[in-house]
Amino acid sequence: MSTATEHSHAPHAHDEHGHGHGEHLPFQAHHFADMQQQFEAGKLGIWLFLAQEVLFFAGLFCAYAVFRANHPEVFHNAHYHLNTLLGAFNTIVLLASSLAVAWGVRCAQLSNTKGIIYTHVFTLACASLFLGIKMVEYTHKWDEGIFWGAKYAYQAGAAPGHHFHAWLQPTMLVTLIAGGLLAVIGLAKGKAGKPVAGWTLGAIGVTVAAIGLGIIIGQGVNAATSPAAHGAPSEHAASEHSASSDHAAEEHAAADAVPTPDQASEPMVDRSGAATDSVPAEKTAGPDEAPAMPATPPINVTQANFFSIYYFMTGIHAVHIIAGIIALTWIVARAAANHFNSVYYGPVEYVGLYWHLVDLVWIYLFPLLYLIR
Amino acid sequence: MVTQAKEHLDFHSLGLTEDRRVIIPEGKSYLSGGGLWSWVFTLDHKRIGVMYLASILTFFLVGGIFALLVRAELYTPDIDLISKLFGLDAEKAKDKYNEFFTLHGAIMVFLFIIPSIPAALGNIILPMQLGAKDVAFPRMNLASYHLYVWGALFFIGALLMTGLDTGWTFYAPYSTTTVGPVAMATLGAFILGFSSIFTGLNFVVTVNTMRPKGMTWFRMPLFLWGVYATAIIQILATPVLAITLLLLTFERVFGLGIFDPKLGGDPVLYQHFFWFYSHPAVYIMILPGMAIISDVIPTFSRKPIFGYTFIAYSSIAIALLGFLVWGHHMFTSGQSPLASVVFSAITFSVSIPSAIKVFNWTATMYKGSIHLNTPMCYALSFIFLFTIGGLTGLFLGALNVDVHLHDTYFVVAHFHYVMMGGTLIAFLAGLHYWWPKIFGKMYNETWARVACVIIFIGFNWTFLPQFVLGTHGMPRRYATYEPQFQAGHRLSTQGAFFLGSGLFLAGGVLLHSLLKGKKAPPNPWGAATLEWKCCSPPTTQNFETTPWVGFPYDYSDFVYDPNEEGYVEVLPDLARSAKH
Amino acid sequence: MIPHLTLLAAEETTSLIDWWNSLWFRPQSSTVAGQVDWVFNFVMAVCIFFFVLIVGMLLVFLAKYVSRPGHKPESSPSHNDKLEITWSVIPLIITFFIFYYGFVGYLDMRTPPDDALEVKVVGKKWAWSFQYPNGAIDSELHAPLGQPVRLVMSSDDVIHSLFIPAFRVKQDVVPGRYSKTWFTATKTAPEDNGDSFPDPDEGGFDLFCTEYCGTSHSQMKAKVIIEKSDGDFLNYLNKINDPRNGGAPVEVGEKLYNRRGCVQCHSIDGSAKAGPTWKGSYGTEAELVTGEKVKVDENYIRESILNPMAKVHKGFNPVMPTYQGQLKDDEIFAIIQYIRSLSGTAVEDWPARPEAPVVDPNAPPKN
Repeated sequence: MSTATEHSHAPHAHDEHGHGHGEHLPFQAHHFADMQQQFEAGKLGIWLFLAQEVLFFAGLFCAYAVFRANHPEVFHNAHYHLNTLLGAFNTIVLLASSLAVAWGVRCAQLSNTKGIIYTHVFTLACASLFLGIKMVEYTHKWDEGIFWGAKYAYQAGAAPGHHFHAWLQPTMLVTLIAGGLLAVIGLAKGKAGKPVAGWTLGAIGVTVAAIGLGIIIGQGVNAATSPAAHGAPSEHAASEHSASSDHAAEEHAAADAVPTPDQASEPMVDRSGAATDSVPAEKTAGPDEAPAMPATPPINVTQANFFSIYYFMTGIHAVHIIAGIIALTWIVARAAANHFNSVYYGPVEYVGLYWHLVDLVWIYLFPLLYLIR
Repeated sequence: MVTQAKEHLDFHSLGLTEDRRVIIPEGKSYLSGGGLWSWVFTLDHKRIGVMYLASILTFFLVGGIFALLVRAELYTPDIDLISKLFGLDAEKAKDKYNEFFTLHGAIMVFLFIIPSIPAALGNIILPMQLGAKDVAFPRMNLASYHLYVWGALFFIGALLMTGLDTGWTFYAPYSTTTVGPVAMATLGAFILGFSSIFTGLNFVVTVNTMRPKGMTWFRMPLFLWGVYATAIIQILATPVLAITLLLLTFERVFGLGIFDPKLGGDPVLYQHFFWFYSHPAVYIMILPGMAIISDVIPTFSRKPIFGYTFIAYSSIAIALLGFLVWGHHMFTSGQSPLASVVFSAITFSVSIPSAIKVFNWTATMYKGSIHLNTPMCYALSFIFLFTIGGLTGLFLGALNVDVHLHDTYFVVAHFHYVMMGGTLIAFLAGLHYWWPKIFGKMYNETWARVACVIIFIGFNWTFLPQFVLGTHGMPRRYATYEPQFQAGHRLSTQGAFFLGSGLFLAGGVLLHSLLKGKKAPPNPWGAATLEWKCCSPPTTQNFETTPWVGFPYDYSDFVYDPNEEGYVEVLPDLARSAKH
Repeated sequence: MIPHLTLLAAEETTSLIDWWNSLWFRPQSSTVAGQVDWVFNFVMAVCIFFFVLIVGMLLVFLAKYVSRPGHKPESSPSHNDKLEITWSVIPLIITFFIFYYGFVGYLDMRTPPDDALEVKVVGKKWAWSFQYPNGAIDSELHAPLGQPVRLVMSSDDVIHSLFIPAFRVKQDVVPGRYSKTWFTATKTAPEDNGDSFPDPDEGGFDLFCTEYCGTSHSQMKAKVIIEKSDGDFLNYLNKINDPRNGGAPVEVGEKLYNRRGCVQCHSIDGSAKAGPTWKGSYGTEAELVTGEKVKVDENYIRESILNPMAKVHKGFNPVMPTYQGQLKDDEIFAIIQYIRSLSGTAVEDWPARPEAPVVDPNAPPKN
């Protein structure tokens, strides 16, 4: 730490320096020859892990591409249900968090422990903000019956069949109060000379409270973009989610009025009638029984399929955010324990790289799902 | 490059002095000490490897029993044996049969073959061949094993609940509509996928960053090349399987509508996803097998491997090309004819690196001194069987022939020649090769070789008739069949039991060695790779003294010592070389 | 071991080539079969060459260089780039030829002639059904000798695969889409001569399902009967086209109930499904959605089949499709008799009628 300035120009330099000091530094595993080898192993490891993650998501992007290429009109119509403004806001939130994490890595290289903690707590707040806003998006869609695949039950103009958004208010209050409380306890612990417990609790507190904040912002944006929907979401449900501007609302209205071939073939009740359109055949015709002749209809791809992909992709992404939150909290705790310095900062960099990937995936998800024109 | 004949010109008859002997210090075996907990939460790569070994062999037994049940049922055209054995009517018995072949396939693929060589043997041998103390991430290595156990528990759960009848391929929409515990099995495979990814990731990082000084990429043992190529596939292909199985699980549980045509999904998309993993997975299975053979053949021929660089590059070529050929499983699936043509063309290009390897192994034996120890017997058997397995792949790559042969017993025979005749035999070669190192005991060579011969004969007896069944149109996964096929099925079933007895004998010989075997010398075969430069079994740290890194296939410094019943490394005679 | 295997093929072997072909294949019975077998044999020749080469070298080296007293390993190069490139490039060229021949054969397989007779195929757990251009449905596939037949296939449940080994033809049948394949038969199957040894394809070519589809996957098979002449084929079509060949009206009605989709909405055990049950319904009074009442008799049933929306039964949604043009008079008669039998009402036999008209197999579905 004392030699931070001397090492600041390149990580390479201080690793060699560390090596020179002798065999085992506090965080050097016994099977590595030196800190540099350990750092390089870790870095290659995380890059390979990220490669693995990219392929994990690649499967989903392939599914998306196949469905969109075969049924562009379904995707075009379905995306009006997504609130572009919320998506854009979340994109900015994640970009900000990525910046903070990169800054945090730099702080670690400069042995600036406080910097690591501040940037990572900010990142945690962004992560939760993102989740809070996503909660708002999900619940409003569920209220309209916009579920996935077999559960899809959206009917334009119908009254909301569910009231998931009723849970938003209490969730917001609970997270704000609990988060604030945790943050205050953390502050107290920190003052009492327990920095690790203090910062960890504080970070968790900020994380929890930011969920509430996300809900507030999400609902606010929702209300701002569709004033009618706020008071009576049943009135014209479609416009609530389509309209990030009046222009978009008009477009959507047009899309509603002139059904595309897809809509024409199965008007309005996109999937609610999934059970009736193919009355389940008796499961076991005996081997000698020739089956009914009128052949099966071709595959009927509807908005339900778009939302299957939407929920699955954003859901898996959210799981990665949650994993990231755990990892970031761990970094805060270790930073508070003063583990990181210019010689040993691998974990900060690894978690940072992971977080960039989570951000990157969203950077692709946002235009692919929200900005279909 | 001239090497000395060991048995007949040994350490003493060559007049070597004791001061030229490289001493390998004895140490406390990594196997000894510690209770159960010290095993379950060990970070020692060798202990993790041994636990893997025990686990996969257990599942090999389970999968093998299912195979024998399937074969026994097929002795007659009707569904009679399972009916009688379990007291079921014909319909239920057919269901049972379907479960048996599903469990045979799923257990063998996910719980045995894929982890067999990389996770079990690789875990033990890879760091030692690198002269390292451990893999790069020991905790991740342990996590990989624990994930394996969890995945296996899911599979056992599915097995106990009975009714898993999808085939190991889990094709939608059958898998989304059938009644069995499919979600449990796919979740199990999902977890096993991460176990496999962790192992692969560890190996790539270990090989990349922990090679000792003097071991450049092209001075690495070929086992490392093979496992390295495998690890790349594990990292890049397995996540696609993971996401596919996750989608399938959600499809089943929540009605997602990606694969099920009733919900607008696309069942052929599932097949693309599945084979994008599962074809490279074939190379996850066979590449490490080839890698073992590449180490065994030169050791027992006392000759450097022929064409080292070609073999090394061919491993990487197979790994990369393996990603581009998945569509050859789908020539009749309804994918576009153009796609089929492209996949067929690329498929043939994969055959070339495999051919190169076979030629090189054979050429390695030229002018050597071939020692027919058990690992070498298995290696020769591997070349024979893998050649058949590889060449029969040419039939299936040819588009119009594949249309006829797809999903018949020809395919069954082909992939058993590759997976069992290839991977399993190579695994047995490796197991017998490294057994003295892993457990520090010598097994009975005579009986081990008898077992090898029985396995070889039994294997061909079982699977050669299946080629003929296939070309005559016997479809796979049939519980009952036309009487015209009975002659072939009878032969195959008889062979299967003969083969099974050989495997039991091999297992018995190895188990016997654990109890009664002679103590193994550090280097019983005279191999030049680093894992033989520590005591047998190694200590927890592997190497008490840093070993000298030479070319892994230069045997000129290894001389037989009858007192040790093994080989010793000889230091260069400084005085004499100074004179020259 | 090999001679034993020849038992699989009971063909008389007249020459080495015949012996070889009968060892590996069923007799070639379609226009593409010869090509498939030719490529197979070509690949086989390549395989045998390389197998003999590799195993031969293995054995020679083993014999010459096995470790024994007095034998030493000799010096030899550890690599030889020219040699290695040679044994990489030669196989590559050979595989190119294999690919090319396979590719050409595949194109032929995938390109049906324009004049092909179209047969619709439906796969369903665990049976096949075949619908001919005149609308007749059978569980056997009949086709005229020498005429191209195009199969347009779909599945009602899971993936199946249609495989006719004697024709070397296979295509998956995927739910939610139509898949196509075709063949031209060049032989009729051998007659069943009643001997004890089972010949392949005796009494009709085997047709298997080769994509695993559940419990009775192994019994999802059918026979392909090749009619010697167009006349025979027309006779066959006429035979299956006339419902009266199916037995008594009640039996035919029951088959139609199961095969033509009635079963999906109408129960025969008194329970209500999407439509009213058939059990005990005949002769009762039915209340319509309009409030009217109507007697369930021949006329009402007939009208409900042909024009289901005319008089909708109260308590049910108007969802029944019309069967106008899909059921013949005789078939409607048979269904009515079947419904009568479910109410314990006396059933009638076929009414007198002139001979069924001859149907052109290529004509669109009529009646």
